[in-house]
Amino acid sequence: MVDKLYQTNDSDILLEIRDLDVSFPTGRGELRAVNGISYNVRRGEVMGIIGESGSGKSVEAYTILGFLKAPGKINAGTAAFEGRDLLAMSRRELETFRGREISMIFQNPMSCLDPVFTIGRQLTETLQTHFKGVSASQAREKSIEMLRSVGIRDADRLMKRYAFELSGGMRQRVMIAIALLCSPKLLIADEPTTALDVTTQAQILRLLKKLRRQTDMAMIYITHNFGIVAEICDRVSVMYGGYILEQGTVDDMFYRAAHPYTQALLKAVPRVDSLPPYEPLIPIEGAPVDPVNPPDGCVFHPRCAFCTEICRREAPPRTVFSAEHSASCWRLDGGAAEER
Amino acid sequence: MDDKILISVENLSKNFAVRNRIGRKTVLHAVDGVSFQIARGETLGLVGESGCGKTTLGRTILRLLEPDGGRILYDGTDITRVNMRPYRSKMQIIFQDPAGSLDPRSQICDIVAEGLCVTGAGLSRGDRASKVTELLEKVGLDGGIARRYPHEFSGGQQQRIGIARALAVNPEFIVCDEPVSALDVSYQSQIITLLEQMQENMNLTYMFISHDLSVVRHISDRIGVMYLGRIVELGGGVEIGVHAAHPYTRSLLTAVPVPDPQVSRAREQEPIADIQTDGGIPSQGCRFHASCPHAMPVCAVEEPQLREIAPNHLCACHLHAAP
Repeated sequence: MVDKLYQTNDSDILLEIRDLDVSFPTGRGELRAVNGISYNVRRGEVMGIIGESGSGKSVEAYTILGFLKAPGKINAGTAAFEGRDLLAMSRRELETFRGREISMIFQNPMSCLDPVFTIGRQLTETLQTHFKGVSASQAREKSIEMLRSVGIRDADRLMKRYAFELSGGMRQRVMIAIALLCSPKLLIADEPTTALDVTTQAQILRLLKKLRRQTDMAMIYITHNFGIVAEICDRVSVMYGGYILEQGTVDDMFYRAAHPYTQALLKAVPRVDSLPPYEPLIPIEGAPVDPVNPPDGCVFHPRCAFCTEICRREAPPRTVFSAEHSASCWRLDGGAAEER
Repeated sequence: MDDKILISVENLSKNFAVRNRIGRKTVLHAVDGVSFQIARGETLGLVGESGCGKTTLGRTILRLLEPDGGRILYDGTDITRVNMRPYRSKMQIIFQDPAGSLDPRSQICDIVAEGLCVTGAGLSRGDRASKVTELLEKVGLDGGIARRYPHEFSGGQQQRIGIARALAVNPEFIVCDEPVSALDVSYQSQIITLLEQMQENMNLTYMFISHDLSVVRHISDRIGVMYLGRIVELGGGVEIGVHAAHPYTRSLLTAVPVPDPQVSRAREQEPIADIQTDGGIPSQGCRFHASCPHAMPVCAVEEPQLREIAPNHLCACHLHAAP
């Protein structure tokens, strides 16, 4: 059922990221945050980026939106949004783009809500900035409508309140309302539910799924939680140490995972609905890569159970299994690892 | 009394004086008449959403907070009012925030050995140092890090240091307060596995507090589900994780994302309860009745008591009233 979604042609591609490479100079040397990653996002689909902290998953998203701050620098790559390179845009151009064509929601809503303005003011201001000629009453009407559609019942009263007066779930809803106000074509969600209780989290995920069905908005969903990936994503990219190690549909990832890292992650996550006989949790030993001193060869080799000689020397090529599913690992490269 | 029971909590309550929105003083019943027992060598998991009182309960059992009512029995002895000094080395705690729970200005050896200075009086300096090395190696760290400082370590390693500190005094009972919530997936599974190994080797008894049902399900022998200061359901892993009886537990379970796309597609249409937790405790009736999809007239008037509905399965709900 899900696989059908992808028998589509290239005109459906909304965002195409090619060979993106981002680094930060540090006192210890250059920190290689993102190492030449490529992926695309089609209209109306949810691309999940899964990875642990330090995998580069957030840096990559911030870069697309032009939020990368000095001293971070883009060494190479393009990010074509409907054919226009976001990385080559001037700040002026980006400003009209952000919020209107692409929006972003974050883990901590307080970081994007202004504490000194009412919720209503922040919504109407967003609308009036992006659409000149919208009257105050129109903006107010549209804002209330938006708040209702993100599941806020008492939208009228909420307009007069301040961010600090709201619960975590409410703030997250308000942030989503602001992000969706201008009907963006792409929403980047950076772990928006991590700080919330499970029931609130489930409601926010439902809400995002509903809004996406209604508006055909595409999403990049950044998370470290495999449950959320299963819940909301159509396709997934697994990031580790600034590389995409495996990419495919959710079903590829959960039922046909090819890369040892993806397989290991899946075995390291406990499930609430498990029945005896229980499978043991198999932890991934070792520590994540140090992006200032990345290992030679495959970036995952120091923690990999299948590491061979060539893995220590050379970075693995990408093995393609289907139009959607690919992974970078020597084991998958037609037995090349054994030959050498 | 059953000599296998290590911790017994009877009708325990803890209140806090708070001011409400208009500044009037009120009482917050964080833990409100909770009773349960933990057998030696067992892990009791405690789940609930933020503000349900699970952390307060853990700290009250250790008497880091003074209880306002009820009794705590440790190995058959009432410790509700006694001087805790002799018990501190038997009852330890591991905290959620590994960085925040380690003194940034102390070296690792001092952090781990602090408990030894009190309980292991008479240990020579050399003995103490070798004991620290032994502890660090036990939790999977290099013994040579003893002279370094907490900030030099990752979250997973800091949590290991926290565990070494708790183990230093040879405890019998450890309250694990969200020990893996702040950690990445791969560290999370490392720490869970480490806690399991330690339990086996040292016959430890755990109370494992977490908001993550999947983690609690994995590590616990029995699970208690808390809602607004009360335990509403208590039972074995399968009883709670698969055959949950209380509507609150069931709403929690439908809300937990399962790492399996087929399961989540199948559950797509299941409604998610809109659980109100900020409204406070209702003056009468079941605490959950306002959010409960199965609320009956009796639920608004009479508070259900925790009673056995099947072997090893207790539930406080009128739906499962005695026949």
